[in-house]
Amino acid sequence: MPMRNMPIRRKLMTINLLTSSTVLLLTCTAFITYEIITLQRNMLQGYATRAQIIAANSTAALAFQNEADATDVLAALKTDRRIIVACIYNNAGEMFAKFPTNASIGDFPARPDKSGYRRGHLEIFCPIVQGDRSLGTVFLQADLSALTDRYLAYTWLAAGIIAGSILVAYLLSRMLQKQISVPILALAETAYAISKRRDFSVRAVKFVNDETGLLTDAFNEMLSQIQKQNRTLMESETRVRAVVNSALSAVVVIDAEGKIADWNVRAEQMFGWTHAEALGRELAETIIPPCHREAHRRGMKHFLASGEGPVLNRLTEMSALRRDGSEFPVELSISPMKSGDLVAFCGFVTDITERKLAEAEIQKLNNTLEQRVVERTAQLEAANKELEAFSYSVSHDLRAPLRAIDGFSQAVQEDYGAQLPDEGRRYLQTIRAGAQRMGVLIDDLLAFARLSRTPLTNRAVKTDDLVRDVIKDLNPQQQGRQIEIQIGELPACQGDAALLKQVWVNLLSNAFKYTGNRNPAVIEIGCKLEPDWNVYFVRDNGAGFDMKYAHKLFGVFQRLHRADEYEGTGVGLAIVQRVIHRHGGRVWVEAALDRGATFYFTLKGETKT
Amino acid sequence: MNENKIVEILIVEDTPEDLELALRALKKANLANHIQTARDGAEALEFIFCDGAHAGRQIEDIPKVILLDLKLPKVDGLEVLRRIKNDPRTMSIPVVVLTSSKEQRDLVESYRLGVNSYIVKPVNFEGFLSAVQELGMYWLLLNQPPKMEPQNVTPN
Repeated sequence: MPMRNMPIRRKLMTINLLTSSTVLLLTCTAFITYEIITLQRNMLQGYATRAQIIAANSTAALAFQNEADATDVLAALKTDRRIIVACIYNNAGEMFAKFPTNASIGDFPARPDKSGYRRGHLEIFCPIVQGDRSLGTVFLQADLSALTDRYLAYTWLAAGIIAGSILVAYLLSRMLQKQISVPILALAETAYAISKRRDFSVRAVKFVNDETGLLTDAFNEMLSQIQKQNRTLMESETRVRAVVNSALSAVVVIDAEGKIADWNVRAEQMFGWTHAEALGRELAETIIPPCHREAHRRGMKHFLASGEGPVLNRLTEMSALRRDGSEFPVELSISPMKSGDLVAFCGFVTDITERKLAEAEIQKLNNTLEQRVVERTAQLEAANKELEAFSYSVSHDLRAPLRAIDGFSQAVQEDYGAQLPDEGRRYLQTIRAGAQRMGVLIDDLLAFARLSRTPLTNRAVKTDDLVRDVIKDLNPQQQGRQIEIQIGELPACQGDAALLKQVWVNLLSNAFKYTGNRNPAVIEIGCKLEPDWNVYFVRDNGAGFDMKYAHKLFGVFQRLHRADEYEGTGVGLAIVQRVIHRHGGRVWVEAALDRGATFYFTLKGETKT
Repeated sequence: MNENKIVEILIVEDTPEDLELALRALKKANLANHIQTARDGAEALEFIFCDGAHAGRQIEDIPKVILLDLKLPKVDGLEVLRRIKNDPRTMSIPVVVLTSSKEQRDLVESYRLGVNSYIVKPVNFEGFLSAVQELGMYWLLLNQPPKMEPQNVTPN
């Protein structure tokens, strides 16, 4: 089994043992190497000293060429059984004496050399000198058995130490590895149990406070997070489901094969299939009327191939199929949902039967309404024509008899006036006055009626010029009277000049009329500017009236004064009001009995172009 | 009516009272000679174009002025005016519309058709009198009609 696949316990043991034995081996090797080097050096030094002693002792023998003395000196070496052979060379490098004496010449080097370990032996060469004269060389050869013995002893010792240490290390690591392996194994077991049982409420037990402890904490924290996320996910899932089920639309999800993957409560009610029944059915077979099925399948294929679909992501109206085979109109929107490689479609379907009925109803009502508008317009046009014919007729025919009354009364006055008593002539005069008064009434009434029929022009009207013209036109009313007319700033306005002239004529002639008994009469004309509106006013110091009758003032034929006080038909202010209203303005009055009156009206200011 | 008499004024008026008052007014102004009356539009056209009761009349003997009411039985005043002004033989006759109507459309239409004056009959007789007298004076005594025109265009 390769090491990385071993159980953690064995891995720890193996690491421990390997480490400790390697360390021991290296230590022992170093120690032994050092010992051996020291030994070899000591040995070399010992034999070199011995060679120097022999060299010192043999100077005389060499000087005198005494071979026996030299051999005796060498014989002293027999006390050291490790010395195998020794010899003395003379100055010329020839053998002079040897030890043991029976040693063959082949056991010696032919001539002196350097000291060192050679051919499994230690060989020492030492020069023999007297004063500064070289006499020869001493040679010693020692065997290395001492060294070999020491090597062996060290090796055994090292092996013993290593074996013992490994045993101790094994026992120790067996005990100590639990500190690490137990928490990790516990963690591993917990993880395994959780992944098997999917129970995220289990927690790993924390044994120690080191990194393993941190790992356990982190693991437990992770479990808590997973548990929390699971809970959130489930809540969200529940909520989404509740939303989907409470939707007023049927929510239908299908997979890429067109099989129903989800089906909410509304879909159950709408189509008649329960959630369980609907799941897995092909959508086309379930809710799409036979005539649309092919198109649906084609559309899906097209989308899966090209990623586009004309009915996707927008509202479409079509008919849908109930379980009982009946069809009904629906509005639906389909959105593709992609998650990874999976494609699904979500459809929202609304039953629009009611809406369709309502639309049809509205259409019907509209048609009726249009018909009614046409009829009413026709009626109105007819009524308008009649009204026009009426006023045309009034304008012609009602005045003819009045002319006859007046004309023939005049004829009587002229032709037979002399034969009539004063009273008779006065009566005739009264008849004529009545007829003429009625003529004026008819004229005013027709003018008033005409106001509504005349189309309105809308141009800038120079109010100041208009007012001065009107005052000039009303000159006869001012003859022989003392009238003070104060004209303030009168800005231009927008409107129909002809109609607005009637407004000013009526208001100013009223002002002249109702100040008849004032001396001087004071008439003030002016304008106040308001946002959007010009507020024009005409103020007089005339008869005025009681404000409690103000509401009657603008009605047709409504008068607040008797005809013998002030002449009038009661149409003037009605005309004023109608003209101002047609211009979109307002008209009102402030007055007090005997203290004059102020008439106000509003018009749009001149449009700057 | 005497067909051969030269007619100076043709009054077309259906209301007898108005007619009588108009005649009275003209008489007072000493303009009552040579007056022809027509009581409706058809009668007026017969006279002007020498047809029916007036078949023997010469069309060249045009009246000096026609006083024309607008609201008339059978053929209305505007139609009479249109026929007069559309015919080269009669278009130079001065036509004064004398009517009760102040209706804008009548006024506009009359001028469009080529009326020479437009007078609204006032209710009071003095006004009526002065209107009739003034216009009678003007058209009869002051105005010089283009004499040549009718002869130039008469084919017979």
